[in-house]
Amino acid sequence: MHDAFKSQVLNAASSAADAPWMPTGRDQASKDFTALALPDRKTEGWKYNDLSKLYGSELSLAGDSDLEAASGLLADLSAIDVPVLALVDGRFCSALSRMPAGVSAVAFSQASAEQQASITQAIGTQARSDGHAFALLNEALSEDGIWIDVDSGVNVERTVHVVSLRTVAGSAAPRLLLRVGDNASLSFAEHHRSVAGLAAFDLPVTELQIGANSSVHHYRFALGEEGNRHVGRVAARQSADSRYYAYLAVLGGDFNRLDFGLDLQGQNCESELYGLYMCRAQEHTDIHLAVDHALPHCNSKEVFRGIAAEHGKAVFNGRIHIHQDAQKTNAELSNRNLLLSRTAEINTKPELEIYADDVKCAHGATVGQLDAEALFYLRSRGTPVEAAQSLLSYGFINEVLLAMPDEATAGLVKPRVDAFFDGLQGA
Amino acid sequence: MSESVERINERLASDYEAGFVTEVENDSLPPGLDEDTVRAISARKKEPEWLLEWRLKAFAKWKTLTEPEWAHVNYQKIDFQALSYYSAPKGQGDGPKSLDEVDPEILRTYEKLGIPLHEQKRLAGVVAVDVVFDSVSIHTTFKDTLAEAGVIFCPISEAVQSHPELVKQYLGTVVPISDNFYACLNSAVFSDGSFVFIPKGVTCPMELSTYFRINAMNTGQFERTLIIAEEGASVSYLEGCTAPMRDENQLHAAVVELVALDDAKIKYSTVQNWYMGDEQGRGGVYNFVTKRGVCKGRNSHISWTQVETGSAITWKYPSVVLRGDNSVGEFYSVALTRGRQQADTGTKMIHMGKNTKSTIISKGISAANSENCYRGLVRMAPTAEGARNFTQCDSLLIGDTCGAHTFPYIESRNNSAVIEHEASTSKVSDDQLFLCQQRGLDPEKAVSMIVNGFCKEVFRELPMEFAVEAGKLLEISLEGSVG
Repeated sequence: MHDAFKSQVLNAASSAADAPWMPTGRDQASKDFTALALPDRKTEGWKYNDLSKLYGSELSLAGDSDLEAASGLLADLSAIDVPVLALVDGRFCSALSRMPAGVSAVAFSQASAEQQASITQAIGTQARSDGHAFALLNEALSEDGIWIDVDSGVNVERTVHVVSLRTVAGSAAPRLLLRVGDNASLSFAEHHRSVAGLAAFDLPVTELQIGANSSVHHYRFALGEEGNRHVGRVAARQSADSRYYAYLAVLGGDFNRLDFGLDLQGQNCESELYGLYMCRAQEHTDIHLAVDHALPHCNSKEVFRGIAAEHGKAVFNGRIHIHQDAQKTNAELSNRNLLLSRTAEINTKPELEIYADDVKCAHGATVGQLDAEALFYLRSRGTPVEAAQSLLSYGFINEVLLAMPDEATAGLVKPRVDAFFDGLQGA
Repeated sequence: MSESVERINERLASDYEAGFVTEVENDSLPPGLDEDTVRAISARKKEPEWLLEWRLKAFAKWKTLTEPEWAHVNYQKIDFQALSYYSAPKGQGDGPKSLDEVDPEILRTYEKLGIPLHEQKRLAGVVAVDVVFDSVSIHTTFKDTLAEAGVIFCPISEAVQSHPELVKQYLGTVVPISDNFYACLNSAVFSDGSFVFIPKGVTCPMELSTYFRINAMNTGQFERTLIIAEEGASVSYLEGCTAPMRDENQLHAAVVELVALDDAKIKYSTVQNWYMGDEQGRGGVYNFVTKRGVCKGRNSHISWTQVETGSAITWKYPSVVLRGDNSVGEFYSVALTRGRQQADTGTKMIHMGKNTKSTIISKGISAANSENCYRGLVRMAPTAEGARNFTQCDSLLIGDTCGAHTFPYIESRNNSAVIEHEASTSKVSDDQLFLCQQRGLDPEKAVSMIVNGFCKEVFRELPMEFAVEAGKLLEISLEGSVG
C-alpha cells in the first residue's frame, strides 16, 4: 500500500505547477519522500491512526476548480465583510479575495521579486521537513501559498481571513507563511473548507514567526466534510516578550490529523492555546501538540476539549518540553473529553518532559460522560433528554468558544458546532 | 543555591551499605546462551519434560525478538552471550533442607543485610521469608506454620516438583511467553523465585516475603514469582533486593505473575534497592522486570506498592488486568533517582470487567544527573461498563541537571467509564522550606519532612516494617537537602 501511495505522489508531483519558492525543491522533496519509511501503526506518533484511510484512497493533484461552488463556501465570510485571501484547491484566487489594508499580504504566485526573496528566506525555517513525511509531501505537491508580512510597529486592526477551499477531488497542499515584526500585532484566521462528499486530500502547512513584544491571535478552523482527508501542520515561533493566542477547531472530515508545534525562543513569552475537536459518524481526528520551552520566564496554557460520538474516534497528544535553561516556567495543560456513545473511542496522552527544576508544570486529562445529576436537573424542569444532552455538551466545549476574543470570527465556527449536536442520533 | 544543590548531590552520593561481596564458591554455568544453556538449567533443577519444552519454546521465540527501545533510557546494549545464566553457591543446587546446611558465609550476608532467617530471632512483626541468592532459593522460613493454614510458600523450583499441577495450570497465564523481550528471556532461563498458593477462604496468617540478592559476577538474575489467591483468599507479599557494588552492569530480568480469583486479595510490596552504579554511572543493576496481576474473579483486588531507590536502570510497569466484575487495581509508587540513575516506570490498568476501579498514585523524585519517568496506560475496554480510574503523578526535581517526565496513555472505548488523570512537577517549594525553618527546623530536617510528606500517600500503603525501611532509605538518600 505504501509503494502504491508513493508512486501516486510521484505522478502528482510531476504534474504540479512550478513552485520556485520551495526550500527543498519539488523534485528533491518527492525523491526524499519516496525514500522515507512512511509512518504506520508501529510509529509511536501514529499508533492510534488507521492509516489505510490515508494511503488507501487515490491521490492525484486537484484539477480545474469550480469557482461557483467556492464562492458558495464563502457566503458567511462575505456576510461579515472581512478581508479574505482565498486559495481554491491549493491555488490563489484573486476573484474571491478581498485584500486587507495596512498589511502586506500576497500570494506566492503573484509576489514581486523582492517579496519572493523574503518568502524563500522565511519558508521552511519553522516547519522543517527533514524526516517528516507529510511536510515533505506538502513540499512535493504545493502549488501556491499566502505570504503575510507585518512590519515592526504595525498593528493590523481587522482580522485577516485566509480561506483554503476545496471544490474538486484530489490533493492540495497550500502554504501559509506569516512574519510578524517587533512590537506589532495581528489577528488572523485560517479556514479549511470543502464542498460535501468530496474525496479531497488536504496537506496544508502554516508557519508563523512572531517578533519581540508582538501579539498574535490565530484562529484555525478545519471544517471538513465527508470524504475529506486533512493532514495539517502548524509551526509557530515566539521571540522574547511576545504573546500568542491560538484557537483551534477540528470538525468533520473522514480523517483529520494536525501537528501543532510551538517554539518559545525568547524570555517572558506568553502563550495560550485553545482547541476543540468533535467527531461523529466514522470520523477520525488526531491532534498532536508540542510546546517547547527553551528559555526562562515563559508561561504557557493549553486547554483542549474533545467530543466523540457515534463511531467517532478522537486522539489527543499534548506534549510540553521544558529545556534545562527554561527555569521559572509555568506550563499547564488541560484536556477533557466526552464520550457520547458506546462505539466511540478516545485516546489521550498528555506528556511532560522536564529538565529544569524551578518550574511549575501540570497537566490534567479526563475522559467521561455527562453528569447524570445535571441531566436529571434539566429533565426535571421539562427539557427533553436530547436537548438536555446538547445543552450540557455545548457547555462542556463552550470554554474554548468563549476564549475567542473576536466574536465575528467565533461566529464562523458556531453553526458547525450546532449542526454537530443537532444531527446526533440518540446520543 | 548552586552551593546547596552541590551539597545535596554530595550527600546523595552517600555509601551503598549493601554493596559488599560474599566470598562463596559458586557452581555457575559458563557465560553464553543457547539451547544447551536452557537444557542445562532445566537439568540442574531436575525439571519435568513439559517445563523444559516450555522453556525451549520461549527460547525459540526470544531469538526472533529484538530489544525494546521505546523507553526513555540510554544504556550500553547488553551482550547476552557474555552473561552467565545460572549461579548457585556450591552445595545449594539441590535446595537447602535446613538452616544448618546453609553456608555460614551466606547466613552472615543476610545478617549484615538485616534479614532474619532464624525463626526464633524474629522481630515483633511476623514475616515468613524466602531468600534467593543469585539463581537459587536458600531458605524459606515458617514453612510449617504456613502449611497448617494450607498456604504453600516455597521456591518455585520446589513447587514444580511438589505441586506440578498448580504450576502448570498458572505459569505463563498472566505474562505469556511472547509478552516482551525480557519476559521471554526470563521464561527460557528463569532460575528460581517464590511460589505462593493461598487456598479458598484462607487469609494468610503472616506477611510473606522474598529477599533477592545478586552476588556472583557476570550473572543475570532471572527469578520468577507466581502468586495465586483462590476464592476469598488474601495475602500480603513483600519483596526486597540488593546487590554488591561492581564495575560492570548486572542484569535482573524477573517476571512476577499474580492471579486473584473471586473475592481474593493480593497485596504486593517492593522495596527495590539494587546497586545503582557509581557517580560516573559505571556499574549498577539493569532492572528489567515484568510484573502483572490478573483480577480474574469478581470483587478481586490486586494492589502494587513499590519504593524504587536503586538500580542503574529501571524498566518496570507492574500492571493489573481487571477482568472480573467489580475488581479493584491499585498502584502506589515512589521512585527516587540520583547519581546517573534512569528510571522508566509506571503501570498499566486494563479495565475489562464491569464496575472495575483503579487508582494510580505515583511520586517521582529526581536529583543529580538522573532521569525519572512515569509511563502508564489506562485502558477501558468496550465491556468496562461503569469503570473508574483515578491517576495522580507528581514529580519533584532537585537540581537543574536531572529530568522528570510523564507519559500517560489514556484509552477509552466505553462511554460509561470515567478516567481522570493529573500530573504536576515542581521543586521543593521555598515557601514550605521557609515556613519549616522559621519554626526552628534545620534545613535538612525540613527537606526530609517535605519529601516524606510528598511520599506519604504511598508509604502508608506499605506494610509497617517496609514503611519504616522505606522512610529510612529515603532519608539516607536525601539527607542534607536544602532545596
